[in-house]
Amino acid sequence: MSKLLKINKGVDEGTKALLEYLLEKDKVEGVITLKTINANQGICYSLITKPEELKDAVPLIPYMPNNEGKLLSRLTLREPLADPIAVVARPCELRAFIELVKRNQGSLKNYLFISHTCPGVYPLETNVNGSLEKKISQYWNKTKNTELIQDTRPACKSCIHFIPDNADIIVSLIGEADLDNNCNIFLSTNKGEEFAAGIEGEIGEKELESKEINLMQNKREEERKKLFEETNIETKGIEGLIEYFGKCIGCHGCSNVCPICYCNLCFFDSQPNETQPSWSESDLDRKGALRLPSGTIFYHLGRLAHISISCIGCGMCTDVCPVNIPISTIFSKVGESVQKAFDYSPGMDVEEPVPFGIYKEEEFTEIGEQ
Amino acid sequence: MAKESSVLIYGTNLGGYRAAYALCKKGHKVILLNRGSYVDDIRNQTLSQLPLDFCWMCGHFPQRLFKALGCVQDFYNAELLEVSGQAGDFTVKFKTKPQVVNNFICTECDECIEVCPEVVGDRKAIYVHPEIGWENIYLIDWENCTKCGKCEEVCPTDALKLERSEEVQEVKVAAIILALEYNDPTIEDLKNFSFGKSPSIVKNSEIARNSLLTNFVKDSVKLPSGKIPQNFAVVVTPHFNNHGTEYESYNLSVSAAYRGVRLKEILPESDVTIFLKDYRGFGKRHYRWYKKALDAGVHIEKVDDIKASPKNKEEVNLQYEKDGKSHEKTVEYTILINGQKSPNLMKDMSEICGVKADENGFCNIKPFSCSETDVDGIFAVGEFTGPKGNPEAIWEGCATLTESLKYLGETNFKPPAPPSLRNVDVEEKKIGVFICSCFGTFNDKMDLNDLKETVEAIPDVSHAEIIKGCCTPPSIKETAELIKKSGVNRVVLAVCTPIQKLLKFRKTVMMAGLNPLLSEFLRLREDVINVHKDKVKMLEKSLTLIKAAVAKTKKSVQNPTLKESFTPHALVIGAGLSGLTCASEIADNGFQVTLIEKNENLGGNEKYFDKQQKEYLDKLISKVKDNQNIKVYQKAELKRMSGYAGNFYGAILSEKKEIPIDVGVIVLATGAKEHKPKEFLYGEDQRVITQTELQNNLNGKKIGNQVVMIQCVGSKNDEHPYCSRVCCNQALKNALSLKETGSEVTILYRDMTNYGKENYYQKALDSGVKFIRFEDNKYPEVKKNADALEVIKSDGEKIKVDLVVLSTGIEPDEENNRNLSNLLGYPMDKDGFFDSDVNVYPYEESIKRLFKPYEWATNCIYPVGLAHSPRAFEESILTARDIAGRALILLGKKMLPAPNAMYIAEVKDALCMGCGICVDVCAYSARAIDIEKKIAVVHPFLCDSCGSCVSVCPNDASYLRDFMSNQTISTLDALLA
Repeated sequence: MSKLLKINKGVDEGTKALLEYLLEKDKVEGVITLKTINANQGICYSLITKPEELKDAVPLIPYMPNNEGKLLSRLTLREPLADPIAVVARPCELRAFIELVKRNQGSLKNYLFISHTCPGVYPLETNVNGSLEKKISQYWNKTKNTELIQDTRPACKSCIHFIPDNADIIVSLIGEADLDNNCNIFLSTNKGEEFAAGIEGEIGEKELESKEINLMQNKREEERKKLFEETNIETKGIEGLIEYFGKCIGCHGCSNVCPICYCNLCFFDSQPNETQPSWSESDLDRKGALRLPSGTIFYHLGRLAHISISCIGCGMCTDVCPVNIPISTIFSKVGESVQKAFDYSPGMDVEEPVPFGIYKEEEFTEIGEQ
Repeated sequence: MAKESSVLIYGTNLGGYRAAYALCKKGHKVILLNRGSYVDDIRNQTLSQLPLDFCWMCGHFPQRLFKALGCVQDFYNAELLEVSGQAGDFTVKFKTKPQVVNNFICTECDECIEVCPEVVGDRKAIYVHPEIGWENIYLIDWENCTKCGKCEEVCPTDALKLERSEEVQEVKVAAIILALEYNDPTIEDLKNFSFGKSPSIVKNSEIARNSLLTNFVKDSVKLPSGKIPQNFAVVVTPHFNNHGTEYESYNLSVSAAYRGVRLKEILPESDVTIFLKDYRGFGKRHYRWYKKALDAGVHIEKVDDIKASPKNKEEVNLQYEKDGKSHEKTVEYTILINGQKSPNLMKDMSEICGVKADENGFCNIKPFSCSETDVDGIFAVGEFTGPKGNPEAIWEGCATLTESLKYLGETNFKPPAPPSLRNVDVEEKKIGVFICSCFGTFNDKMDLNDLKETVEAIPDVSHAEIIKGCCTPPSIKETAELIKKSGVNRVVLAVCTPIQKLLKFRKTVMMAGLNPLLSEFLRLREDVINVHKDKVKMLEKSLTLIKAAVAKTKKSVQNPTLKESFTPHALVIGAGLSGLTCASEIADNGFQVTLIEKNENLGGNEKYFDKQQKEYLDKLISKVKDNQNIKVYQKAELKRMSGYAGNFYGAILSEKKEIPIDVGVIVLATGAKEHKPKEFLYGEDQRVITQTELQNNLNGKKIGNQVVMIQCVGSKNDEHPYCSRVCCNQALKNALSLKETGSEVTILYRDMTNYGKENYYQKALDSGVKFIRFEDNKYPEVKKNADALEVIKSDGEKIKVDLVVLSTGIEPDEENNRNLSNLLGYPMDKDGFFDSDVNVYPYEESIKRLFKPYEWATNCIYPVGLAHSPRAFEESILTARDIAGRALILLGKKMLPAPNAMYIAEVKDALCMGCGICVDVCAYSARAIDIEKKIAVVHPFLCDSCGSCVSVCPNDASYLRDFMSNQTISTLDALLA
C-alpha cells in the first residue's frame, strides 16, 4: 500500500498544482518539466524557478523532445545539485538517468522525481506537422479506457516498463476514468511524502497496481511480441543488418539522442576514426566496391555492443531517424536478450552494478567454454 | 675485517631459488650450486605437493635472465666439499662439471635430436621431457647413447658437449644458504600401498609432472592399456605410515582435495574417494578446497588405516579400517599423495659445515628464526629444515635475505644501464624485416632467400635481411649492429616463440637504439617451419605474417619507460609480533619506519604467548622503542592514504592530530582476535572455558577429574570457513599438561590438525588422552543437569564432566580490516583477512599476478602475520621477515622503472567521459578518475597491460601502447587480405 494524495483537479492541473506548491513553499529550488514556448510551436524541457513561469508548463503532454535522463545527467555531471529540484519525467527517462548515474555521469542527490504511469508519447513529427494538438483528446480518452494508443511511438506501444519504479511521486494516469476532474497521486517514497506534506488534498491509501495496469501490461506485451516478430532481426544475420541499416545516411542522430550513448565525443565522430586510405584497400581487393562513408554496420554493431545491456527502450532513436530505420525495435529486442543473459534490469536499482564491470564465474561456461 | 658480499646457495629447492632472486635484486651476487645437470634435475618438493600441476620454478627465479645480467653464477653437477672461515668471510670449495647442453646458449632448434641415430621407443637417445615450451631441457639417455658425436657436430651454437671435465673451484662468500631438496619415500617406505607393483598405483607428483605441458587431462591418468579409469582412490600416505618413515608436508590434504576436484572436472562420471586420517588443510583457503571437493561429489573417507594391493592388472584392492570395522573397495586407479623423508645429505652437511640436525633428522633452525642454523652465517631453507608447505618454503627465501644481510658487505651488483634509445619521431618511417635462420638451421627447411626477396618487394619495407639469431649474447649483439647499420627505425623480427625469448628480442631492438614498442615479433619457427612442409604454403604463410607485422609496426609509436622515485620509508600498521618484527628488521637496515598501533600498548596478542615467547616479545618491544629509525605512534590510526606503490601519501591520526606521512611501502600487521563462542554454555557456566583461559590457569595443580575438550569451535563453519591452525596444537599441549596433574582428558574433534616439529598428537595418545571424532555438522552439546555439567556426544552418549575446554579459533577483525581495505584499495579475502600474493597456492584466480616481480605482486602493500591468515608464533615471524625482505629490496632503490616498462595502457583525454567502468574492471587498481579533470588516469606502476580497460571502454578512449586499435585493425586487415 502506498499513500495516495487526491487533488480535485484534472491530472494536468493537479500535477501543476503540485509543482506550484513545491516552488511556492520553497520546498524545491526549481522544477524541470515540459513547457511550451513560441506560442505553442515549441515544446521543450525547462528548468523553472519562478512559480509564474509554470503557467506554460505542460508536464503531461504526450511528447518527448529529448530523453530527459540525458538532461538530468548533464546538469549533475560535474557536481551534484546543491538544492532540491523537482523533476517531472517519464519512467524510461528516469531509468535512463539511473543508468547514467551508474556510469558516473550524474548524481541523484537532491532530485525529487515525479513521474506517472505512462501511456506513451507521440512521435516528434506530430509537432512538426501540427497533428499533436488534435491527438490529445483521444490520447486521454484511450488512457481513461486503458486502451493502447496506436499512433504513439512503436517503442511506447510495446513498452512494458511503464510504471516508474524509481519515482518519489507517481501521478496515476492509466485507467483513471475520472482523470479530467480528479488527480490521483501516489507518494511512493518517504521523500515524496515529505515534499508533498501540507498540500491541499485528500490523503488515503491505495495499491498502485490495479487491474487496469495489469490489463495494459498484457496489451503492451502482446504488442511487443508482435513488433519483435515483424522485425525478426535475430534470424536474418548480416544480410538482415544490411537490409535494415543499408538505408542509414550516417547522420549519427540515433547516438546523439540516445541517453545511454553518453560519450561526449563519440569515437565514430572523432579524428582517430577518420577513414584512412589503407583501410579500404583490403575491402576493395575483396569486393571491388566500397560504400562511402564506410563502416555503417560497424557503427551500429558498435552501438549495439555498448548500449544493449542498458537500453531502456525510450524510442528516441527511431523517432529521429530521417530514413525510418526501426532502430529502437532492434535495440530493444537485442537488449532484452543481452539483459536476460546477464540477469540485469537497466535503470531499476542504482546500486546494481553494470554487468561490464563485474565478472561471474559461470559467465565463462555460459558462453560455451568448459 | 672487510666482509664479502656474495652468497653461495647449495641446492635447488624453492626457498633457495627465492633467496637467490631476493639477493640478486638486493644487489648481491649469488653463486648457485646445482647438484644436478639442469634446473630441476634434483626434484624439490614443488610438484610433490603443489597441486596446480605447474611448478613455476623458472618464475620463482628467472635464472637465465639473472645470469645474463651477471648477478648469478651457476654451477651444475656440483658437490660441496669444504667450508672454512666464518660468517662474512667463508671460503667454499666445491666440485662441478658443466651441463651436457648448456641451456643458456641452446636455441632449442632440435637439430641434435634430428641427427641422433639411436631410436629408443618413441624418442631418440637425446630427447626433451617434458616439453613445456618455456625452457625445454635436453636429456641424454646414456644407456643408449653411443657417443657418436653427431649431435655435438650439428649444434649451431656449440651448446652441446658430450665430454666434459670435472673441476674443483674455490670461492669466497659472506654467507651460505643450504637449499637442499627433499627425499622421496622409497618403494619400501610405500610398501603398504604396493607402490611400484602396478601401473594403477602412482604418485601424485608424477601425474603433476606429466601434466606440465598439457595441464591435467584425461590422458594424465591413462593406463598402459589405453583405458581411462573411472574409479579412483586418492590416498594421503603419511597419515597411515609409521612415524618417521615419511613426514607430512603441510599441503598434502589439500593436494588430495585438489586432485579429487580435478578428477571430477575431467571425468564427471567417475567415482573418486579420498582416504586420509584427518583433513589437515590449515593453510590460507585450504578448508575451502575441502568444501569444494565435497560439492564436486568427491567422497572423503576419514579412516584409521588403509592398505592397497593390486587385484589384477588394472584394478587395485583397498582394505581400510573405519570406526573399528574393516572395509574393502576395488578401484581402477590409486593416486598416492606422499610425504617426504628426512634429508639424507644432513649428515654430510653436519660434517662439512657444522650445522646440526633436529630430532627428526632435518636441519635445525634456531628458535625464533626462520633460516638461521646453529652456525652463524650459514642458513637453511625449504624442505631441508623440515616438512612444510610450498608457501612457507618460498617465504623463507626472502626471510633469509632479511636474516643474512647483517653478514653481507656492500652490494656488489648493479644491473647494467639500459641502452640509450634514439628519437625516431622526426625520422621518415623505415621498416626493416629481419629473418632468423636459427644459426643456419632454417635454411634446410625453407628458402629464406626467396622469402627475403619477396619481403623486400613489400611497399612498406625498406630493408630485409637474414640473420643468424637474436637469442644468444653474440647473436643479439650482431643483429643489433645489423639493425643499426640498415638505418631502419621500425623492426620486424621473424623468429621463434616470444614465450621463451621475448626479453631477448626486445633487448636486441633496444641495443640497436630503438624503443621496443617500434618492433614486432612473429614466430617463423612455430607457426611456419614446424607445422608446414609444402614450400609454397610456407612462403605464403610467412609472408602473410610478416605483412601483418609490418602493418602493425607502421603504426607503432615510441613511448618511454616511466620511472618514479621510491620513498625510502615504510609504514607498519599494527604493533603486534608481526608488525614489530617487520618494523625492526626494516629499520635495522637503515630505513625510516612509522609504526602505528591503535591500542595504548605495543605487543598485540601478548596474552596468548608462553613464557619464552613473552620474553622474546618484550625484548623486541624495547628494541623497537630504542631504534632511532622507528617512529612509534600509539593510540593512532590511519586516516587517509592515496598514491601507489613507492609513492603513498596520506595521514595518520594520533591524539586527535593529523600527521602527514609519505611512504614507499605499507605493511598490514593488524592482527586478528580470538573467537568468542556463544554456544556450549560459554559465559553461562564457569566450568566452560577456552583453551587460552585454561593455559593461563595451569599451575601444576589438578583442575578437574574429567575434562572434555571440544575442537573447531568457531572454525571450519559457514561463518569462518577456514582452519584456525593453532588450536589443535594448543589443545594437545594443554591436554598433556592436564594429564600430568592426573586429569582424565577426552578430546572431541573433527580433524586433528597437529603439525610442526614436535608430535604432540602421538605424545597425547601415548599418555592416554582419549580422542573421539564427531562429524562435521554434529557438534556435541554441553548441558547442565541440576548442578552437574554434561557433554552429550552426537551418538547420544553423555559424559559427566568437571571442565569443558573450547578450542576457539582465530577470527579476523573484519571491521578494522574493511576500513583499511577501503582506505588503501587493497582487497580482502572471502574469510575477512587480507588477500595476498599468488605464490601461495592455490590462488588460480590471480594467476596473472605471477608474472610480476614478487616484491611488486601486491603493489607494495603487504599483509603479514594474522592479518594474512591464522598463524602460529614463529610462522608470524616468518611472514614478517619475508615481507621485510621484499620491502628491503625496494626501499633501497632511488628510481625504479614501472614493472611493465613501456608496456602499459593509456587514456586519450579528449574521448574519455570519466564513467569509471575501466576503474571497476581494472584488476590491478591501476586506474582512477582524476578528481579535477574528471577523466580516467593510469598509474603506470600498477598497470599490468591486460587490456580489460580497453575492451570495456565504450569510446576507445583507453588503449594499450602496444595494441592500439588502429594497429590491431591494420594487422587483421593484412592477415585477411
